[in-house]
Amino acid sequence: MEPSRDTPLVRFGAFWLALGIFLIFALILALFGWFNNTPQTDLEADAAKVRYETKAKVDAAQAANLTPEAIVAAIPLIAKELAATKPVAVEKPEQLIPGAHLEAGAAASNEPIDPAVMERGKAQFLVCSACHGQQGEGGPIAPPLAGSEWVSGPIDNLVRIQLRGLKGPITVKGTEYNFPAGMTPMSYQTDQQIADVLTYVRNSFGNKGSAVKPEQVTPLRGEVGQPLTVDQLTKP
Amino acid sequence: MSLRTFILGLSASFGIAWLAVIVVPYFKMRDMAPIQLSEEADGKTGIFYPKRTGRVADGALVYAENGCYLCHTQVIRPTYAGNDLYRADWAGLKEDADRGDTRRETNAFDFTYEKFAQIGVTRLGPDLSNIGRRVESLYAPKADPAKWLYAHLYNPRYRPELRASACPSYRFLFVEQTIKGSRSVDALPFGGTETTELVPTSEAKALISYLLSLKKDQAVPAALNFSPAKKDG
Amino acid sequence: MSSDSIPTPTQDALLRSSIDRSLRHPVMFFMTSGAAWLAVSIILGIISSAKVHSPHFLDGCAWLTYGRVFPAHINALVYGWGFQAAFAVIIWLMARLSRQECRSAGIILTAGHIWNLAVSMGVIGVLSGNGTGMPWMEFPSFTWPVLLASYFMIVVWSFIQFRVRPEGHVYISQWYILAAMVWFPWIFLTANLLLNCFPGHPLMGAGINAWYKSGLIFLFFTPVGLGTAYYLAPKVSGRPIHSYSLAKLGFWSLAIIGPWAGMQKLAGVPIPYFLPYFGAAATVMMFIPAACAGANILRTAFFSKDAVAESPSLRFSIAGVISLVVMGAAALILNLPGSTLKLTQFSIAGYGFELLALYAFFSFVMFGAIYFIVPRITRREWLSRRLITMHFFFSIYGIMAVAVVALFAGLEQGSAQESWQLPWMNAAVTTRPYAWFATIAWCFILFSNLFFFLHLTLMWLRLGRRSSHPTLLISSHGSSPHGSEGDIDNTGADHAAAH
Repeated sequence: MEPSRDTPLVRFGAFWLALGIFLIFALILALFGWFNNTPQTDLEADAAKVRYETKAKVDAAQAANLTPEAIVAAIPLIAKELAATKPVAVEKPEQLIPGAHLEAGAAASNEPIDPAVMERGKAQFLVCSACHGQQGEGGPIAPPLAGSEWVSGPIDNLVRIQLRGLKGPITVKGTEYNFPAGMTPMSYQTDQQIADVLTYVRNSFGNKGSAVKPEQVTPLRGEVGQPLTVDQLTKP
Repeated sequence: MSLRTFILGLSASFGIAWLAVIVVPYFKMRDMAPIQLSEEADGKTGIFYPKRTGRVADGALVYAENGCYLCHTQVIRPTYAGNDLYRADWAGLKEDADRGDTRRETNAFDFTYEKFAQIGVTRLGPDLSNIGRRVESLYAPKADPAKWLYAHLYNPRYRPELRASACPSYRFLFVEQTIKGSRSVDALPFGGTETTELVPTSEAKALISYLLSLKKDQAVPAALNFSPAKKDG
Repeated sequence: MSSDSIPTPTQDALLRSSIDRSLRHPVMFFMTSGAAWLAVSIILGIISSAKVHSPHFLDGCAWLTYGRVFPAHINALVYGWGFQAAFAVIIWLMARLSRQECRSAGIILTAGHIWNLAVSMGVIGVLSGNGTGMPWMEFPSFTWPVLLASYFMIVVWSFIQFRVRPEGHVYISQWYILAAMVWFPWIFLTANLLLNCFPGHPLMGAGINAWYKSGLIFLFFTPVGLGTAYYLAPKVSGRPIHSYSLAKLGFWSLAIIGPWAGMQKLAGVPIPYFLPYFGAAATVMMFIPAACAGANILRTAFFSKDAVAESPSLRFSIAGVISLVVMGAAALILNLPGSTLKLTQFSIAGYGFELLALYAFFSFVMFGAIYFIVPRITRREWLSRRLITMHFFFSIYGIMAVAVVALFAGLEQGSAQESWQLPWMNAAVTTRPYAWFATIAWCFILFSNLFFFLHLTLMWLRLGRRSSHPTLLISSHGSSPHGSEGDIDNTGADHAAAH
């Protein structure tokens, strides 16, 4: 009889033989995986390939027509044109600062009123006197202008009323007036005409105020819309 | 028979099957080339790429974790293997407004971006390959399809035609929260009180986004189209 | 060592009893923890089966939603009960047949505890919503290396024992057990590497998963069950195997046909066309090894009809082998590509077939083995014949209901599904009666196994009968079960229980 094969060495060998047999197909699989390591195609990337090809074609065509040398040569010309255009100088503060035109008006309040302006304004006032009275005393359809705090108040109010009209109740010299028709807008008048008539009204019928310049009317030309109401005006 | 003969015989009998049925098909399918569309047959160029929009990967995970694959399948078998293609709304739409009959069998590109194709174990519930198309076109054509699906998930037996449904209620994917300010956009139209509302959790949203992405009825290129030529008239 | 190679009967009996003593702890551990997992699995099975026909049942709890409790049930049945029963049987059979004592009981016990821990974490992972969504592989993916490592540390010793066996004839059971030991890591590693580690096409992943499921049934549980049945039938009936060449034919036909099966579940899916049909052909041909082994074992056992009637282990094993033949026939009938495959592919016939394999065949043979092995390693006899008969008959009732589900439900549900002119709800409600059947079947099985658990626990606590006479289901000649001698030591050479 051959000697028993039950020796520690055989047992040790059998352990590793078992491990090897159990793992053999996993090892073959790992080898397959290692040799088959092509990067997986992604349908998204494949679909995008066409777009990238088109882009490459367009880029090539552009590059062919617009060579780097041409670009470099064009730079001095463009630079010259840019340098030739002057930036606009800031001449008036109201180009940068909102409301600056009001200060201009306030600064000019001590200047003497130009008589030519007063003449033109007086002629223009004939339109206003139809409602406001020849002496600015008011009437059945308009409040008085004589001694009115609104007239000697902020110029903005007068310009805006002139451009948009006024409706609703308004308190003048302590009395509340509420005329159903209100004041119609006079926006057909030019800046000069508005400035003249407002200067005349502010310096007549006992009123004393600074002149209104046409430059103070122009910025408010954007005022359009329904007639104003008193709460849209600045309190005098 | 010695141990060596035994192991060799076992390895050979197993190994041949293993190679033929598992390893070679696995590695070949991994390297599948995309199908090029041809100008004459398909009318356009490029590759066949049935794009899916939605949170496909997250939603597929919720689908797998909650065992939806145990009752729902996601495969339309060709006619030699089953009658799925004949049903009016499983494989696509029989009467789509724009394209007519859009039904088609499943193809190998339909499971892109999923890790494991949830083919399904049984059909205790309907096939879900085109559930997105069905909900948008047939079940909730004028309403929000996501809301329809949220309602179904919350209580599958809510609709009278689905009273006999055996689908479990996935109430645990929704949460009741207090209304902060106005009602949330995702809030369900039912449930909750005057001060609370039912909203879906992010898992429910991912799942519904995944289900609505299941529209496997895009036109296939001529290379993949095995249906017989349509007869005129 | 003695110079003569053939020991005397007394020496052989002493060797066998020392083998039994060395193996007592690992084998009892695997049997009792396996039985505990069987209990868990049956309860989860009842809950999940109830939810198919009564979805309101326990539907407030996220952990018990059907999609989680069903995978927990099937995975607990396979990895908790099936594998541990298989481990017990593999260790004991290989040790006995190779006439080697077990020297690594400590390592095996430790590895067994680690296996149990991994299965517990897996089941909790599935129930808490962290399953992977791959049928029969739903445990979270950190568990598979742990399971594989503890598997290796449990069964490698049996391989070593085979390698160092004394010269002589190798019995068919040893080949079956060895094959099962080797096949499992091959299919487990392949499936887990390709599905969890390598990036691949999602459809092939589904195919490999189906192949894995079928591989576990045909290439692990079937050979372990057959190895056990091939041991018990001649041992208990006292007759040699009817035909050794038929046994070898059965084994090699299993080895050649088995690895091709599985992908028939993916018929019509866009994978290479031949894969599902090779799978269907292989599954259909599984009838051949089932019939060969069945014919062989049944002829051997029924040569002595009294033994089948009297011995619990033989009765259970023979019922199991008959179920194997039924399973082979079911594999044939349910997977014919031209006719029945499209009907059963997505029906509960699949579940019924899996239960035929795992419970009707495998578990019955395991019960037979447990009723045989436990008295030998605890040196006590089973306490009550009635507990055994209750276990047997209620399990038979349960499994007959499952066979109905497998064979009829699948075909009817499938034809309803294929009737495309009718609305889908029609097909969905045809399943209901069969779902009730399945729940009733599981209730019977739970009821039967309560007796088994009670009995096994008593034996585990060493409260069995001290006797030299085995507990028989029909006592012959009206003799007392304790016998005339009533002696404790049941390893005497001339007693039937000594083998």
